[in-house]
Amino acid sequence: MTQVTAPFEILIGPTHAALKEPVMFKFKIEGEKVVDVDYQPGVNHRGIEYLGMKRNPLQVLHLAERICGICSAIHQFCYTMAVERAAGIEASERGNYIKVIVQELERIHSHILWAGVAAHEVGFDTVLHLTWKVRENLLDVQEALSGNRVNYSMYTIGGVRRDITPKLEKMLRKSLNYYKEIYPMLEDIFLNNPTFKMRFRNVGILTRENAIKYSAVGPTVRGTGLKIDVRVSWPHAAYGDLDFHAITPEDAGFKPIGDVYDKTVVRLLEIKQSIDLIEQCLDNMPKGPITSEPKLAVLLNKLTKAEGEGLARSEAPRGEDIHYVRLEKGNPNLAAWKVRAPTYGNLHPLATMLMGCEIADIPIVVASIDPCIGCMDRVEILELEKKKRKIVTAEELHRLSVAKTRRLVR
Amino acid sequence: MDIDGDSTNEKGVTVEDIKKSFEDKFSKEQIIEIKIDYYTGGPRSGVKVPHLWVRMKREAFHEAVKHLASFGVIHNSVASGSDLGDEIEVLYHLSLFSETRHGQITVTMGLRVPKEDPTYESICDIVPAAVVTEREKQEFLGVKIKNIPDPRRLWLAESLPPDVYPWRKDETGVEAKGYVTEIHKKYPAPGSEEEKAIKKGASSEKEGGD
Repeated sequence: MTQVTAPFEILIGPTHAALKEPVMFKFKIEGEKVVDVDYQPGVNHRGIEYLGMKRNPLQVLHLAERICGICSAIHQFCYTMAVERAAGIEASERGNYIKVIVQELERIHSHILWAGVAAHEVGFDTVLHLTWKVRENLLDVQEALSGNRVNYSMYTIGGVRRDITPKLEKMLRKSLNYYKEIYPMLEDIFLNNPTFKMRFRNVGILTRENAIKYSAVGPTVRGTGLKIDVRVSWPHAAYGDLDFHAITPEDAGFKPIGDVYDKTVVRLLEIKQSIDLIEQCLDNMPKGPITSEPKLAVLLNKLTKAEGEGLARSEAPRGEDIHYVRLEKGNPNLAAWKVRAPTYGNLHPLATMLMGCEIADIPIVVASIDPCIGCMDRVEILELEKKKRKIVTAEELHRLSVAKTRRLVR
Repeated sequence: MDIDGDSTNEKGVTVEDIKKSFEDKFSKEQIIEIKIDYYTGGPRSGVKVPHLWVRMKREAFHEAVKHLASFGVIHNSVASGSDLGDEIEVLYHLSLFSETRHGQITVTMGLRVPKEDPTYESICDIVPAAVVTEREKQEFLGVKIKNIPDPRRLWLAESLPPDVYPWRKDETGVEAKGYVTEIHKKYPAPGSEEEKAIKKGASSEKEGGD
């Protein structure tokens, strides 16, 4: 029998429970430690930007929303702003406030969803069921506001498509009060539970140096203590009118080190912050039309004649999202469209976070940048010397992670 | 890259200062276009956020990014690009002073390269985060980036030949190479010539049936 020597190579992907976009990771491992990481995204590249360049700006509105299932609002939000800037259209005041409300509602439900996924990854499924149960309340409100639980279709170029009536406002406030009530419970579970402390502390550390060097975004970068939040630094829509700051673990009294725990702290505090931002918006809501151009035919005509380019950046639950749009006179379609979702920006920082971690920690570290939930396909363990493939199923990798929690709890 | 560099704008540098310093440092021949856009950040408070667009000649581009880095830490968002006919344009969306409140300056640094020789120098030595997006531009637009630390293919399927560039609108694009499938022909964009042709065909068929 030939001698098998380290490092071994493990492939995780192309589809994976913790990644919204299927991506492949190649790990080199020595014993239990990861010594090298490479990534290969694009397995499910759908060519949405190419499709967008074959359609007019109003058609792309609905295409943009379908880039992501969980944070669908942010892509429409950024896209509408980019087109407004390219065509020189000012969104209506009330429209801007409602845009922010929808975006912050999405952030609350996305962060609660993430908390459940993180609990699942370490084998704490009771918390998964609890968080997903409390998330339902918000989805009902979203449905009442927009007609849909996800893919809200609220945004349009120049404002929003549906108004928040006094009746809906009452419902929204009631829901916010509910979340204020349950927030201390969520905070207690995630910050004080010994299981989470053991699995989240000192795992998947992103250093400040790497965060700056590789331009990490969202809670991933704020977990390192850097106050980088594009809503604060480069305000848009109604964010410039609101009083808030970029959340870091320091707000909860922790010295940030950039591990999974710090990212959890940031996300939890952001739930509270989003509730506050929505209330600020509701309290100061301007009166007036919800969109600056309600007639779609007029709007489309204006956009066809427009010439220019626009760039919009906004903070998705996962980090900075960016859309670039160029319109050409006489061309009914978009001349150029570039979308960058936050996970794209966190891909390289993630590789540095995975360096040196244990195999059983891979699921939680990958989940810590908050890629979306999907279905883990398979993990192949390649024994290079023997040229023999061993396929580790999704369940097995998850079992390894759960076993680690059990071991630590004992 | 200086990671301890300024990200809070302690010196109070404004976007006009940066624009002026570009105009002072580079000659008119090196700069294609330089302009500032202001976007509304809040309708009530009237906050305006600046966006500086700098389009440089290819030869001066690397030097220009280096000049931008002298103001503080650069946060790299992404590079976008488009086919302009004879040339390819690549725009790097970067920003300065990310840790300030309402004080971030987004800077889009662009360059144009001719299609016969679409080469330019990588900025990864100044902005290491740009490597992912530069790899993407190589495969989608067919630009050739010199000194890129990792030139491997990233997003596109291995089955797609290396000389097909999806964002090109010429003979190397996916349409000209025949990679756009029948679905597009079946469901053409509303208002397009293809759709009109199909509608015409359908109505004549109907007439024939009657």
